[in-house]
Amino acid sequence: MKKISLISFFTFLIIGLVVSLWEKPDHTVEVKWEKFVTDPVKKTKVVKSAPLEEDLYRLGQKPKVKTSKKISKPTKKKFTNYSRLPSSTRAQNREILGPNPELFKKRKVEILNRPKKEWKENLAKKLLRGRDKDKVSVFIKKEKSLIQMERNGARYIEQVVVSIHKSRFGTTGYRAFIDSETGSVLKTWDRTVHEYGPFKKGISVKLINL
Amino acid sequence: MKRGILLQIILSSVFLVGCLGSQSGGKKRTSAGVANTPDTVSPGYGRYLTDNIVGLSGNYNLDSSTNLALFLNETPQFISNNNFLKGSCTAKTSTVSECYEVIKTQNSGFTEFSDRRFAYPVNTEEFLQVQAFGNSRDIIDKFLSTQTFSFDLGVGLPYISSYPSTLYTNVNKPYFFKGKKVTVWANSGDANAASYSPSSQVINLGYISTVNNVFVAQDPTVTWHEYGHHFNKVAMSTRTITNSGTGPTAELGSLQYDEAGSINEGLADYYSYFMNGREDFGDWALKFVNRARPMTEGSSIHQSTVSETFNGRMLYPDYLTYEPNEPDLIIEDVHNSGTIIAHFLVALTKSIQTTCSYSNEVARKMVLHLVLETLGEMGDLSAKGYDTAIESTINHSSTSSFEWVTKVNPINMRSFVQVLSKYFYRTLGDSTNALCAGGAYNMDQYEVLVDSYGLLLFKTYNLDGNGLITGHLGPLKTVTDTNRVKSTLVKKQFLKIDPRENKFDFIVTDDRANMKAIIDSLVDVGRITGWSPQIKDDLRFNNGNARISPGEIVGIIPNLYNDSNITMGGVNVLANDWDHTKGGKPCNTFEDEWPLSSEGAADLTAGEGVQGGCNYVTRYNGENAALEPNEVVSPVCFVQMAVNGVTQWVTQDVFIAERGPETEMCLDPDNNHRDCLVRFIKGADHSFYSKINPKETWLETLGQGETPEIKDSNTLIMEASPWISPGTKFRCRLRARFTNCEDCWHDSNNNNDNFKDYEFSGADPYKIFHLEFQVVD
Repeated sequence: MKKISLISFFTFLIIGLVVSLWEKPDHTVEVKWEKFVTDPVKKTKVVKSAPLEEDLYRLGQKPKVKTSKKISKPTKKKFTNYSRLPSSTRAQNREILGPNPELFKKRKVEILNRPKKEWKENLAKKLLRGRDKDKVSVFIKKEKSLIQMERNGARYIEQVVVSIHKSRFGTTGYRAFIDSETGSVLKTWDRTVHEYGPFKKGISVKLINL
Repeated sequence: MKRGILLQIILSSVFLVGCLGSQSGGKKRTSAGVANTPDTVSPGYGRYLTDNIVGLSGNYNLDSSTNLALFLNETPQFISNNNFLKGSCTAKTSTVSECYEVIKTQNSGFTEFSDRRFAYPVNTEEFLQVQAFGNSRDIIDKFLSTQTFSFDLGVGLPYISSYPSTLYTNVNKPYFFKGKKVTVWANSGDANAASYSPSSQVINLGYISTVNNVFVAQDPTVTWHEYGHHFNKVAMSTRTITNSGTGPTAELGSLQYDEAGSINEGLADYYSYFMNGREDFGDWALKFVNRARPMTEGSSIHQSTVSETFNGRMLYPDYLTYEPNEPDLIIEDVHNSGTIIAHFLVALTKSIQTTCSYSNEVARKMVLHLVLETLGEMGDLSAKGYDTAIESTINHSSTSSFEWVTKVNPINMRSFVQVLSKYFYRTLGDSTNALCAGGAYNMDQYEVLVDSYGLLLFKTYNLDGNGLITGHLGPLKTVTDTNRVKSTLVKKQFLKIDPRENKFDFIVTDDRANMKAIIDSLVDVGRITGWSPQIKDDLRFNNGNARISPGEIVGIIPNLYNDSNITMGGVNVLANDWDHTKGGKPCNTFEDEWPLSSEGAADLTAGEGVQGGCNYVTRYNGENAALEPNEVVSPVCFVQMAVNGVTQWVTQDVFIAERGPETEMCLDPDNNHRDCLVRFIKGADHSFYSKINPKETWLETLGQGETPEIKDSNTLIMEASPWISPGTKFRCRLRARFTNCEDCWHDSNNNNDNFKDYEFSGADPYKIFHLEFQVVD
């Protein structure tokens, strides 16, 4: 009897450990931005960066301040690792987009990818590709985790807002669907409408016959 | 004695009244203008300009040193009961509690007005914020009021409205873009900045760099223009958001220059007219960069000889590149092209006002009603267009609608005016509605007005949409041909690659710095999603020799020529996948009659007339494997290969199966091997050109010399795999069309009704031409 109790105890302990460590898709709906820049030393590497004070203001995360009568200096916010939020805050289901969503629920469709927690870093690397000489900051805010039904199967995707700030150029942004495994951008919309400025410049070419 | 006491009483009463003042504060006007300081207003009140100072004064020649305080209203205006510049908005019984807000700059948080007095000297940051807040509230309130008026018309009258019946009750709040607040940066610190970002719902207002002390927020017409972009987004997305609060919503404009973007700008200009009834836009802030815009031919901003007569209108496509301030310039820009739409809508407003005996205020509401109905239908990504429609009535299908609206069958001047005209016909043009002086607006009169702008480019009102099943079921309402006098339609056969001697077919640009700049720019604005992992990050193989070499990313601009006697407008080239192969071989059943059977064309002896055949166009853009297992859309580029000693054209996947490389070395190794060797980057696989004059190329029309300036919207971007053997020949089958094309949009086999949406996956609506090149070392 004692042995059975001990075995049961350790069984439940092991099960509990396995469940807590098992990598589940992160359905967390985030409300904050994460910033990525090129490593100042290893230019080919992309690293997560603590947002600067001006970044927090720009992205609306900065708390309100008083007028010039009495301006109190705001405290810097610490960067939070959202993938470590307790499971109770994670949404349990991904919304399914596209035709025949019931096929996914019935498991009658091929799964085209597997979510990875590095998808955001991978996205940042793609957006900062070849930018080691530029002063570019990429801000990513996850909005939703979804499943997209495609011709060949179902794909795990993330809906994000991307904001790109280039020094001397300003800020531009858009919404996008991102592959939850590779971080590849699949579709973009809600792109900034610029009236004037460097985002609308052309290039000069020389005319040579093909 | 008694008289003295009486005089004292009278005088005392006068002084007492003067000291008490009104509830909202005292009058403090001096020769220096209104002393706009907190002590001159009561809590909750402040002062801001309700129009720019040119509009308020009637004086266009005010210079940058003008004191804005001279034009403030002495009587304070109610601003807010809050300490911060945040506002709510309500439409019918639905409220968005956090509807709009204004902050100081992009680097600051909220300004706290601890005493709730919002009057500040005009040269302060606080004034700019209050100014932007007041203008925001004014336009949002008026927009929602007009939207509810429009909605009530739509559900109350017996015509098919594009409004979702649950517009104001749906939890997603589609009437105000999911109820998301708009944030205005009243002084962002960016030079000449005026932008609207739908992803973050930010309106960015900067400063004018050419003069001192002029800030964009000082000009309400510009603030309202930016809100116009937001409201265009709201209108385009109402049906989509009602259907689902997740996923993309349609955009009005996808390239740096295209006609959808031009329409967006023209409509945004119109929102300024909608607010103040004035026919000039940006005539304070933009005056200092010489880019104020008129909205009527009678405006003094026009430096040319346009007029408000039938023959004097801003004619499409001639005026697409016209700059009112400097008519000798030729500028391909969405703002310039958009002025045609703004002029048309103002002229329509005035015509409705006169013909239907409305006030100008009501006439503006009626025009906005038409615009909201039009955008609501055209932006529906659920592909219905109205509540009781079946899917695919418009925009192909819910699966492909985003691509259809953006690229395949995009909104252009023709389609926008056609749909607007449909709603005009169903509302003001229908006597049962009695919306025009108790009767109907005469449709011939309407068509003549549209034609005077060169916009009568459609042959029917397309009442039945473009759907697979319903697209030709009628009813059919045709345009009276004799009303089409100034609007000119040209057959697609006249659009060619320059056929003249000693002229080039395409411009190829592979300069490393240029291409890196283009690629980075396109990634930043979200137009492309990146480039192949096979191409180096620094484009080190781009050698600038204007040829296509392995490992390069190149820009390609077709040298398009107009061989007709009529200007072509809105020329559009597509390099995206389409239905032109059968069994992995190129079909030769199209107008280009390529390739020969001996050169590898698809076998036509069997399997025709059904799915998979060359004469069958996929109904689902190749995306429905269940219903069309044999239908795919294929990349545009083929490779030349010797097959049993005979030179043939084959698809890229056939080529690499025979000659390599391995699929892991393809441009897209994980997903797609069908364009393994060369491909046009998605997003940069379509290009746009404003207009081409008769017997000229596009470059000649724009007056570009030996070193033309090219926009990214003019450029198709192609990747060439580093594994291509030098000497390999490719041939890419591209498609082109233009807005005033007779046979690109009208199906002559079906009473000139619009082509059904699915047909844009095929060849019929296009002119086909080829890009042939040999990869060099």
